[in-house]
Amino acid sequence: MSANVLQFPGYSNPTLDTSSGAPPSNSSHKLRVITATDVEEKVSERIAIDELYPADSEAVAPELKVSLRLLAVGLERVEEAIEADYAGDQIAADDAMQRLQALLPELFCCRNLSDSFGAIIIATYHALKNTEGQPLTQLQIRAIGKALGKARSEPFMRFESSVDEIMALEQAGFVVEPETFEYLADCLDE
Amino acid sequence: MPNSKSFDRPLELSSFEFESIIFEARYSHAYLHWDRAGAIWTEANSKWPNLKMASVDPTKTAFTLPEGYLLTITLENMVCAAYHQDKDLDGYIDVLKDFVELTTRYLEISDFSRIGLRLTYFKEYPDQEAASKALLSTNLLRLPEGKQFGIDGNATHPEYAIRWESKNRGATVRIKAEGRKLDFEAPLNIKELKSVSILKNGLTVDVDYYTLATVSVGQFRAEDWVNNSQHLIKRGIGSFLEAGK
Repeated sequence: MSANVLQFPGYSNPTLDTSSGAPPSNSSHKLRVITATDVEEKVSERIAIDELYPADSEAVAPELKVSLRLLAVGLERVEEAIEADYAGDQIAADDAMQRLQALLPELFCCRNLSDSFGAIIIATYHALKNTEGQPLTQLQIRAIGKALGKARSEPFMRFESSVDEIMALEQAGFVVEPETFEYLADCLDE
Repeated sequence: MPNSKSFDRPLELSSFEFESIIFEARYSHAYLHWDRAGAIWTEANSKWPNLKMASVDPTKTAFTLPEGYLLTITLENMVCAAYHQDKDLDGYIDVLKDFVELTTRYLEISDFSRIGLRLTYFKEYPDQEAASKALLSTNLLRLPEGKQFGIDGNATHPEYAIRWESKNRGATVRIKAEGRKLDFEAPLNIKELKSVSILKNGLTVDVDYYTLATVSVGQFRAEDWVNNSQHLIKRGIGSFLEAGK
């Protein structure tokens, strides 16, 4: 029988010094004192937008407060639509999405928040308008929810990020441009 | 400068002189700083033609604006500091907005690990004893009575510091009675310059309001965040200064 002896040079098996009751010493330990004025870096989740800009703060711009409030309501309606669709109640799902659609003009009034915010809202507006009353699929409802969720959680995102969300709406089968857009594009081509 | 009668009243932030506002945003190591520092400050210079280089090395670039701004970018953070600008918060926010946009764009930063706003105020007192008494009048500190360490003396230079935190946000409050000494020996051969020796005693109030949770760049708008943070700081510090009432 043979044995392999493994040694770990950096490891020491500390023993308690019973004469002083002092804790075991290990020269590889680093002692760092944390005080009130010393802030530790913490790995953390992303902060909620409502904590950055509280709804009851008079110091937050009104259009930001309004947009966050309306989008919260809109996302609740998306959730209603998803639940109704799962339950097989297409009428309730459609009703919820129509009530969401009613919020979009007021949200468009908040487009000064950022170009990306405005782009997502107007794309969502046209996406729903261009369905011409046809009920949405589960995929489409979720795509709308994702786009509006992004607009709510990151209203000041870079424009490229909003383009990604708009493309996701198109991939879900929506037409995100106004119906006259193709004629305008033709005119510009000529 | 506050008159002598104001020294006896309970402390209020309105009796303090605003000194500085400092915004800091931290991020994961932005190594692109090594490649793009020149491009950042070239564009900054076109936006602010009076930009002046303060210090430059591979890990940190710092520039100043004559209005009293110091803009700093390092591998780990960006800082926008302004001194004695309380009457022009809008101007500070305009500079900050552009500075953050420029820096996050060139360094391709998508998230901040921490953002913080630090405000400092100072109130002058005739001497150290008066400043110390003012801090002790807040009842934020409890002192033992009688002789201490065999010394029959008084408490001087008291200092109070505390961190107030939730899971996602925090604030650090420091209130300190301090003396500030400025000694400047002017060169003898320059008649326009005079030597200066100034001693000021007073109370410093320093509040840092910050996030602990990550903040996406897409969540951040300077105007709203700075205004709200300043509002929270001014409102919150009252609880500390007026605790002795």
